[in-house]
Amino acid sequence: MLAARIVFAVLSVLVVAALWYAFRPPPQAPAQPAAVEPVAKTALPVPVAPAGKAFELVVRDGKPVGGPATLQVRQGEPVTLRIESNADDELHLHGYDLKVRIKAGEPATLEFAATRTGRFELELHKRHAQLGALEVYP
Amino acid sequence: MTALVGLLLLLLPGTTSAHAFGQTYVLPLPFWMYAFTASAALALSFVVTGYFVTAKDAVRNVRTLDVGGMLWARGGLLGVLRALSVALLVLTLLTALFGTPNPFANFSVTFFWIIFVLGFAYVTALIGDVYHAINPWRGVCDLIEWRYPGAFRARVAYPAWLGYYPALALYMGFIWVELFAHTSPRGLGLFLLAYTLINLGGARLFGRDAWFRYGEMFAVVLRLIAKMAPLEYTSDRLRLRQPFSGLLKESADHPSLLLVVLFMLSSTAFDGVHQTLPWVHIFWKQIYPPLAAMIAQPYLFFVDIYYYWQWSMLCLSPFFYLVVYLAFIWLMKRAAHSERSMRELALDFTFCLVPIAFVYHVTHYYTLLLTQAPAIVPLVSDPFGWGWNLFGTARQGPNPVIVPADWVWHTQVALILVGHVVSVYLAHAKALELFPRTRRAVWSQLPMLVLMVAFTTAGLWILSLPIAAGQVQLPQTSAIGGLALT
Repeated sequence: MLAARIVFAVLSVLVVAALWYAFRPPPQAPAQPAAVEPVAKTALPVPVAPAGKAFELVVRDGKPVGGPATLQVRQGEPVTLRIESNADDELHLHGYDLKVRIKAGEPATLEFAATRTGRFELELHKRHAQLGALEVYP
Repeated sequence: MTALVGLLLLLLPGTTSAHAFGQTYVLPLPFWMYAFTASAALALSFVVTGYFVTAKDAVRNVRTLDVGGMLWARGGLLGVLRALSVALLVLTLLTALFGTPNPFANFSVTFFWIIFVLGFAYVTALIGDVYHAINPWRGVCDLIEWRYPGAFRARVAYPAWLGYYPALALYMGFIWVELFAHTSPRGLGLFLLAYTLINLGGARLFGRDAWFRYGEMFAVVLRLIAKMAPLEYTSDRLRLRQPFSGLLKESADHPSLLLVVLFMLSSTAFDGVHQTLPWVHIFWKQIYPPLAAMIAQPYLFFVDIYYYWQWSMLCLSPFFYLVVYLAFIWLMKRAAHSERSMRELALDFTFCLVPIAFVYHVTHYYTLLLTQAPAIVPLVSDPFGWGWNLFGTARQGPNPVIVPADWVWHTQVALILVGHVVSVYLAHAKALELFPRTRRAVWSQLPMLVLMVAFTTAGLWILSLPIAAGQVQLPQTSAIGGLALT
């Protein structure tokens, strides 16, 4: 009886390992996100980003009116996030706990390396409004 | 059309986190992992079947090992735990009602949603039904009864038809509060106060024992979870048993308990799905456009309708699962040529679903436990958020644990596979016990196996969906939406 148990335990491990091997994706080229939303066309000048990803968000009265709702990057990429709003506020990136002051009418910039993987919400602190989320893929 | 939907989502009130409280940083499961896990679940199900085909005496009497009398009962530990449990309920109520409105600085919110609802439930799966002995609401009843003897003598015999329906209704209310109420600490305090009064009323009407067996939802849910534990408490003995064997010991005693188990599964699935893009689109792209044409100013009207739609889907979800479950039970009855009635069979296999439901719950919420539970250390020193520092820990504490996304995926996949295999194993064991002829018993499990693969795959699929929470506009329509508004 014990023998049968061992045989089936080994069989289970083999099945799982074989399937894992079959389904596993081919190794990807580094820092090539699968799907990235194009940066929205806005009145702002397009920033020159030598490497990494740049995103622009335009906010009117606490609501995002321009820019992607989900910022998708790969782990390790440098990220430049520009935000422009018609009201004073503070942008908070959860998880990374980064904050940047926004003055009405003046573009503010947040630059960081996307070291931590996961889905992190972007929030306007004063209004408690969700602007979207940063998704960092391993 | 898409631009319109983009604008609609733009105006939706901010539905932020998927849970009542706290943040998780979980990414949708990549497609290849979803495909891998679904295939592995299917393949492993057949490995389990193969084991039961070859190993004729695979099921035997479950052995338990007596590890002695309950030391804790003798040493007064039980009394201490009971007192602590009531004290924590009182502290939670007081901090919720009178403490700071900032949920992150108020003890009650982290303690109730994270430590009790998540942490204690998962600990229960390891240590068994301790809650039965230390239930704080039962403790409050005991205290009242000590002062006023006979306060909780049954005035009405508990009606058999009522079963666990009170617990199911309260469970639905609880999940509603978790997903939709967006309560402040004070709101949580009022809900808990109401729940306390419901429990006192229920215990006074039906008697303490009947109410805490059928009516108090945490007691019912935690008792289900505790059936998986390797520890068993019988009268005053503590026994070790094989993990999960508690689920095979008996059948569910009322259809309402089957609904509780299905709601465990379906409410987690609903929580997973209700803020994903495909789900949001069902209402706003399929249901809304034809109806919107009929009335003037449809949007504001339909935002309300949208909430009712979400709530009714939540409450109907266990019944969708029930229909699927009963269909497969019927197929199993045919395959086994069983004399047992549909009702009996549905109840016999109820507990076999508990592992699938439980691991699914864990995959959803364990990251929340890791990120938010450490906050309890400073909160214990300053429970009201009034600047106290009782134990000197108010300004320190372990950092939140943020698990990297690929680790989260791998844990989710591993947990789901283990839960699935355990459920399939239990169903086979149950079939061998119920259907005397081995071959038929094993064949009868093919429908069951399909059902469990379906439940597991549905759960996985939800984990792989893109998330719409906090997403106030559709990515494709961002530029159009911007132009339209500016």
